[in-house]
Amino acid sequence: MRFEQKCINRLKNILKQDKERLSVPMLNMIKSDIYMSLNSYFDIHPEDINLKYFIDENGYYALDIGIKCNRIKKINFFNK
Amino acid sequence: MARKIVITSGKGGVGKTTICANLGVMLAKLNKRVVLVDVDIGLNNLDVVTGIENKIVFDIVDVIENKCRIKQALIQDLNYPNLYIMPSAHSYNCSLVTAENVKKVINQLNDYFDFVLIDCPAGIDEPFKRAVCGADEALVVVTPHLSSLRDADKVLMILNSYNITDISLIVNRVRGDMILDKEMIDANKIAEILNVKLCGIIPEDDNISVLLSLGRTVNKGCEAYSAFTILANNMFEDKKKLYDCTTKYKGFLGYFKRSLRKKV
Repeated sequence: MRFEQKCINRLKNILKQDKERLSVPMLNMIKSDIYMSLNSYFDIHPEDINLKYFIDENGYYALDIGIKCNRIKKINFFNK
Repeated sequence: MARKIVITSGKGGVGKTTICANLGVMLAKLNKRVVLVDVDIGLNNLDVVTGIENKIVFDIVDVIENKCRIKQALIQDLNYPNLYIMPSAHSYNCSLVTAENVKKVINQLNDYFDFVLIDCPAGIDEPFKRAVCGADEALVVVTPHLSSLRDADKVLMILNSYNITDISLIVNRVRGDMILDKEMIDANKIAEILNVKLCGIIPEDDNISVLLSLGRTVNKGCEAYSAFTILANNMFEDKKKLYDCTTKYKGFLGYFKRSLRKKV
């Protein structure tokens, strides 16, 4: 492997290792905000929200949000 | 209304002060009113780089402590009348030197200048925060070395939490011969990995070391002069033009230079 490519790979690894992990309190805050947002549309409880995250090989944060509900809420659309 | 740009890096010794001074000169040559503000209190060097170390009467700390008016702390460059420097202090023992007070000083310069270039200290602690809080834009300076890029990534993460509207990258000390020999990471690749807009490429230039010792900025005899000219123009252009460090190492003569470098 060329020197430049070795450097690039090494850099990506270092940056990935240095990425700040999302703390439990922060994840709980995100979960709470998601609940407040989606609660307008879906009949859900905070425990119904499943939140997972990981950092991919390129150093990007990937967030998986899983929600289960059996009812949507009635929304009034105001037509002009 | 001035554009307030902080020049930062995280890692020390990558060329923030040199770039701050030379960019200031190039902008002044474009008839812009420019002030260079040294916020590195204690380890300041902007005065040395610009050759004004013997002309300092008042500095930014004196302004904050209300010992002088802001205009009294500004030193006009002899060669470029549009360029002013606000030096820093060697030491301070004052609880008044806070981020908020530094920001007030920088805001006072709004009406007098087109560009306020803030020379940020190394690190990401309180001195860094003092420099960044007064800025609207940021230029992050890196060299193509892993330690510099690692620190810059951390700085970029921190800058995102400030009120900075525009963050760009400058890659300094680039060796065109090493880029062609695949011994150095290309600047465009660096910008791609750090996920930041590339604004300037400055080549490694031995002349800069000589000029720094004399307290002078780059002149037309330096390779870096063209790079700094392009960088200054990029401050106004949406589509950035970048200096190509590899030009002089391409072709037969370029190949010969690269081969000679390895053998000598």
